[in-house]
Amino acid sequence: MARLTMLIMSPPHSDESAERMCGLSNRALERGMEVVVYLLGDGVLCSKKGQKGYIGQNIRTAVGKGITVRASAKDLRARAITADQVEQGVEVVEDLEGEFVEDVMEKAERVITW
Amino acid sequence: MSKILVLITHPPFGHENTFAGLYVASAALSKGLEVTVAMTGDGVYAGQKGQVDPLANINMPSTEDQIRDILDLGGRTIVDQDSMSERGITQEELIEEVEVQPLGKIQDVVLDEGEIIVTF
Amino acid sequence: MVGEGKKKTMTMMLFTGPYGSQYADHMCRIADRALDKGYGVQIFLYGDGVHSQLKGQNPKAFFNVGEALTKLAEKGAVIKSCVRCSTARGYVEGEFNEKEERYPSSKTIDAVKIYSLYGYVEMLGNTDKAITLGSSN
Repeated sequence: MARLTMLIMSPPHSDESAERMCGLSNRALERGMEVVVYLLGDGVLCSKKGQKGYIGQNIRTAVGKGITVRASAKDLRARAITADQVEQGVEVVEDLEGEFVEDVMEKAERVITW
Repeated sequence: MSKILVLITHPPFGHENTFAGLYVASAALSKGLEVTVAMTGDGVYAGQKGQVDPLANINMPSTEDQIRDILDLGGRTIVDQDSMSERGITQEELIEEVEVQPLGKIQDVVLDEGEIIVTF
Repeated sequence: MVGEGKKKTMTMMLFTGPYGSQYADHMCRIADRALDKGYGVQIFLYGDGVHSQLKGQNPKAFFNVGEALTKLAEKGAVIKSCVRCSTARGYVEGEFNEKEERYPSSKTIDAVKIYSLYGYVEMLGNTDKAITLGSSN
């Protein structure tokens, strides 16, 4: 199965990056692709539990549909977000940069960074 | 031959991003790479025609000229219809030769043709 | 694309300056992990990203991007910056040096070669994967 890998580094509502990520993820899923999203820097804020906005809802739905979402443990800790405050199903990863590299170089057919 | 997809997401002039992205597109075309420029979100403003001498008016190079150069060099340019609609931009306001496609089609281009994707 | 027998290569473009955001940090960390894993790394500094080439960076409480780029080059990363952007920002001090394959500057770290945008195009034409940081928002 072809994989789309994306990297998000901005907060959920500051610009259109997260929204574009959600839209493209949904399209890729419709087409039978595997989707993996990496959240780094301010991007980890997209994974916070309890968001009522569009992005939070999309992250919950995405995880439910099988999209893999991985958030940087270091960036979460720095921002005082504990593991239980992260949306269920989001993976908290210590070496996110390393996993991202492996994914991009060995598994992803399409790579987009926002 | 390498295929490059340049995603433009900023309007021209307020930030350097659009100019910089279009410059990469034309440089890549001039070296024989295959290039598609997709304008989405605020990037759709870059597809508009009729910029009046931005260099004289605001000391900025014309992105309209850049897009016309890209077309002359054989690049493909696509503008996101959904983003246009949100911003009140009609097809008549666009450079004639650019393609207008719904967002879903642009997403398909990204997924089908984006061997190398650079975002601006 | 990288040919048979050659290691795979990742190309990164940085469009924003150091310290004002985390993009430069994260690019360096991603590049470092890629090199550790045996991949080739090419970095192009573009737009305000060229400020990461400035010599003498001395952040008191932040990740030192200049030092990080120097270490990445020592580990084998190829790092170039855009001459047009560098000229606009006051870095370039002469004509292209054919022997050293760079534009001269006394203000920049040795690890980064100031080069034309065709340097980035060449990187994109010879890479397995590419990412951009700080340019889409």
